[in-house]
Amino acid sequence: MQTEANEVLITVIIGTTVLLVLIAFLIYFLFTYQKRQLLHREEKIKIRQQFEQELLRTTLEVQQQTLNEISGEMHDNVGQTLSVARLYLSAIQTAEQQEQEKIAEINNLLGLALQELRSLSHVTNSGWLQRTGLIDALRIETERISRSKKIKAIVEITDDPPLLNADQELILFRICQEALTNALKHAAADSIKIGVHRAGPKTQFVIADNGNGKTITAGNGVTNMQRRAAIIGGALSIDSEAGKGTRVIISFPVNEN
Amino acid sequence: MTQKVIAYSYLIHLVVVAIIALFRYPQVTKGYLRILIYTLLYTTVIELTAKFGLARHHMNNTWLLNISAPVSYFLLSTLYYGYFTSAAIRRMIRFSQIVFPMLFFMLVFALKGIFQLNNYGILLMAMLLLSWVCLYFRRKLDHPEDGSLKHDPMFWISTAIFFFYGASIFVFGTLDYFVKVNKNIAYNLLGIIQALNILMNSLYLVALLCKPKQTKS
Repeated sequence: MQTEANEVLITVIIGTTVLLVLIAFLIYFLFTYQKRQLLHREEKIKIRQQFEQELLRTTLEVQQQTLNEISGEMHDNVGQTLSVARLYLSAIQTAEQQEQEKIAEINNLLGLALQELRSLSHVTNSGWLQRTGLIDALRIETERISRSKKIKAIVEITDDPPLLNADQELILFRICQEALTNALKHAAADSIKIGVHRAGPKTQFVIADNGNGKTITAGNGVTNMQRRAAIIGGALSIDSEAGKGTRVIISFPVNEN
Repeated sequence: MTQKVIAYSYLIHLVVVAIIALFRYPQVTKGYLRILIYTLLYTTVIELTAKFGLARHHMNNTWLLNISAPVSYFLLSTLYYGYFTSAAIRRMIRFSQIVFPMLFFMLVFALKGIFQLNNYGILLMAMLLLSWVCLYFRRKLDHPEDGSLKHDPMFWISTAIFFFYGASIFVFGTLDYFVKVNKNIAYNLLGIIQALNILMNSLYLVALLCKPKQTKS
């Protein structure tokens, strides 16, 4: 009886050991497979993100090229035509007081149109932005907006802006332009402020309006703005409340160098 | 008594699995998976013949099991032949399908004769099948993009073969030793093989019932 019990025990021990070895191998395989699957998934996401960023960068480049061409056309053709029109207008001699006033008014309007055209030509041209620098370009843009008399736009710098290269500055400038356009179109605000300040380990660009808080709606290109911010190493977030305005915040890690 | 219970449980289980596999046949579209159904049907016929056709009439049925092993190997290796796309692996499988029966019968006649269990032949078969299983696991690790394992019938088949033939290597490798030392332990070890047979057939059934994930074209 005792011998039989021992035989069963030996068999059970042998069987269990063999099975445990096999199970351990299978668990190891499953664990490794899962790990590799996870790595593969992460790699796939990374490749997709890289592809999307590359696509967006190309789109932005094409967009900028088009804008540069339009800017050149505005400056060289339309601008020249308006200047010539002004010259012709100055050459008109008339004794009539009423006509002289009308000519002066037209001359004035043409002057304003030319000024506006030059500003537009500048802000759409990437070369101009490079020469002017981001902060000054933003100041010129806010002045251009303020000239409409409908809205007051200002730039307020309290801390050093992040160190960005020309491409990054251009993308950031376009994001600010889009945020400003959104505020102009949808917010019903009477003031917009672009602020640059430090918040903890980050430098923030904040485009804040005092409008109805409805600046951000679907189709305002928020996702696009966020993607563009990500391309230049920043993060874009939106903070809006009904009746209290909207804040578009673009954060960058502080570059101590 | 326990041995008898396990033996009958195994037979009943095998018949049930074979019947379900037969009903599942129209839904199984992949050629190499249909081979699994043929394998199950073949094993059922052999086991029933061995148990009720020969053993019941007090005839030695070991020769039938000895003859059936190369056929079982041929079927299971063909399953892997259909699964793998690598020309080198397919060539190896084809080569083994030619060489294995020759070696198997050489071992049968050189060692114990046709009426004794050819445990070394089965050992060789187990090693060959485990090689294909390991190649399958390796392939899976190299291609993590294939997706979830639970939707892959080959994973269940390979797990079944891995457990059954993995244990067989130990059992049939040490069988002669235990027969010499203690016949009862050897007999009990064969009982473990019967239990693992039940597990293997259950996993085969899972392989036939699991729905492979549709890949987007």
